[in-house]
Amino acid sequence: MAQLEIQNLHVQVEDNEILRGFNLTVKQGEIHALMGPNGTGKSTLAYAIMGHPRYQITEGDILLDGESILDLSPDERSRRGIFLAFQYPVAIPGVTLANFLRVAINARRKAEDPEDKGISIVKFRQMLKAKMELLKMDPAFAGRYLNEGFSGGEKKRAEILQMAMLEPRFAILDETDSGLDIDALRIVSEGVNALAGDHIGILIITHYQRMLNYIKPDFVHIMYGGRIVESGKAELALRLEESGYAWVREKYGPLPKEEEELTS
Amino acid sequence: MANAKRNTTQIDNHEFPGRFRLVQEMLAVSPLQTYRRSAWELAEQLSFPSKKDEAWRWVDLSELNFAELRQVNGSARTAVLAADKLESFIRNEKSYLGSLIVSPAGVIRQVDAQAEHAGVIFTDFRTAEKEYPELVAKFAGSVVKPDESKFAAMTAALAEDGFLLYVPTNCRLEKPFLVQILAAAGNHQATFTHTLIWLEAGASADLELAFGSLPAGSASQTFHSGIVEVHLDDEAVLNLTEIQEFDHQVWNITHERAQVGRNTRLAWLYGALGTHLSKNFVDIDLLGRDAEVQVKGFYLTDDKQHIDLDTQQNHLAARTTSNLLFKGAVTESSAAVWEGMIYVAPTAMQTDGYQSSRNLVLSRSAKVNAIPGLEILADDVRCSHGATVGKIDEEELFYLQARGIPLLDAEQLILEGFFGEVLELTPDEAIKEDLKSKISKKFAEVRSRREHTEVG
Ligand SMILES: Nc1ncnc2c1ncn2[C@@H]1O[C@H](COP(=O)(O)OP(=O)(O)OP(=O)(O)O)[C@@H](O)[C@H]1O
Ligand SMILES: [Mg+2]
Repeated sequence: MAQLEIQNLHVQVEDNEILRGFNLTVKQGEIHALMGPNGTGKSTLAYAIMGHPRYQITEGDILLDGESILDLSPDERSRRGIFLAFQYPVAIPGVTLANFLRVAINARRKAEDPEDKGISIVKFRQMLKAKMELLKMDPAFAGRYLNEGFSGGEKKRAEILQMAMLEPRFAILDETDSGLDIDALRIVSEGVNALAGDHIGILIITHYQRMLNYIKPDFVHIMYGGRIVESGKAELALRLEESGYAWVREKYGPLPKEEEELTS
Repeated sequence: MANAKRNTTQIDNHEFPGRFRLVQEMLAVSPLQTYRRSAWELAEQLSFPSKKDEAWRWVDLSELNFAELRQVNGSARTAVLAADKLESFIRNEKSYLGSLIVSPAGVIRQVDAQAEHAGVIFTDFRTAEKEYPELVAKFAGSVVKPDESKFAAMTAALAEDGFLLYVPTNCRLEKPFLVQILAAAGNHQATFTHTLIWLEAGASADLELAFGSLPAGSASQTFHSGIVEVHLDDEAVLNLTEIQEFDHQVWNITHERAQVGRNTRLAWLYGALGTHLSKNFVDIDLLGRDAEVQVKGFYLTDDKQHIDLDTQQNHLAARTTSNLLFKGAVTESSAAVWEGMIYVAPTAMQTDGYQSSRNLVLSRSAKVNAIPGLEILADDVRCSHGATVGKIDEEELFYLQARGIPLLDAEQLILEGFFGEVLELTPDEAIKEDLKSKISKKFAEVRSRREHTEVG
């Protein structure tokens, strides 16, 4: 049962309910795309899965391989194989990308074997070099401070580099395509494709078809008002690209917030 | 009432000279006889700094058992520590032009013969007094005046330890010097040190200066007071890395000042990790046009430590530049104070002065005070300052945790990165790594205590 299951998830941020009964199961080997208007709660979902302390789960459950992960800290979730490529990656001044990745890899090894002495420098360098080549990254990035002064696209590429290095079983890519130029989009998408396969389930959060031209999703879901309202195949994304969300709004009505605004 | 009572005991307790004496035999052979005598008189006259004095308002000396303090002089000095133990402090990991261990237990000195041949003087303070009386008499008290505080006066009068580094005109030294000043530890011992760093015009040098403690005889209060005088003549260049890692039982007061001449370059990296309580004055006087000074400092406090740093950038000539950054992190029940001042004299046109202090508070009972200050009397200057006090950013922590790094490791990584910017000032990779590992080691100790209390 290698799957990530989100059951009837309700999530609050500072007393506002953002997710309202979100359901989704991602199995290993599957690629899902999640689309939806701005502010509908896609990143909230991603943070809640990763265990961000500000996102309070008031109802529902998140199961990994059939077991709830709600009591696990974010680092434990990561070490169990969940990965989030952030929509807005955070800069860590003074910590180089390479050093950070080595610490992250060693944290995994240490959790498995407390006696572990850490990955050898040589092996780590080889691995980093190979993955950076895969993503056509300038090796100089390894020595730069994590995300500090990275351009928007460089940050996104660095997120996928981290994914490549940490080899997760479930990856959530939150708008990884935004900020990438046309060539970068192709390179990063090909990188993700190289990482995809039977051993990994991927959830791609995106607003556009462009990344899905490279990474073919098995399922596409439309999120609206804090839950999934439509699910389908790849064509669903094309329909959104053509006609936007007007039909979704019409079909499912205005959001509670919008309703308040209308009545007041 | 309780307060009044405490004040009386404090005055009794802080009676000068207590057990301190000006040793006549020492005076008799010192070229600093007059200097020491008049400093002693000053020490008798000046009152103990108290919280009523502006510069000392965060420093609480009431718990210092001054009456018990004693200086180890004369023949008792060598008995402090067996010589072979002192040798265990020798560091051979890299090639220094000269290295010096100075302590009440003795001196270990090694210096490159060619450098000596070129006129470089690198020796402990007592030897310098004996062998270079004219230079010592000329330098001592020229940068730091004994009347700056009662402690400065006491130190001027009593200092037996410390060193002289003298670099003659146009002598450019490629490799660094290392000095380790080891204060006595335990048994209410007091160590007074006097440091003279003198670069003549066009000279250049690198110096790593470490303050530490000898193995402690007992856990009782220990005292160190130091004077550090730095003089850069025109066009001189100095890279100075200073790291203070006294034992936690040490009360430490220093008066440190650099006076720099025309077109000089001074890079001063200042790290404070040790002591129970420290009060340090770190002043820069920019005396000559086009002088450029960079000061970067760090402090990481734990337990009940109190580290109080007072910095001044005095722009006294035109077109001078000073750039100061202090970064600190406080943990457990410790406290740190940084108070900075940029002063620009009326004649110091086109000054470029910057000061900033960034602080992280890592526990609820830890405190930081960061107080910048500007006093600008010239037009046409560019001066700015900033000070921040905050916690480790939650989003940074979450980001690292989301990559599988446990919370405490994530904190440590962020902290190492935070201090990294300051350590960049030293061009020497080995020093940088050494300081990094000292910071990490101290934080790891804090962590392991925290892990224990959290489990228990
Ligand atoms: N930390 C927070 N504090 C307050 N409101 C928040 C916070 N995080 C999210 N929200 C609110 O929750 C709602 C959902 O935000 P979320 O970022 O999940 O949307 P999204 O679907 O990812 O949007 P986008 O497509 O623009 O990235 C928004 O209205 C947002 O303002
Ligand atoms: Mg989002």
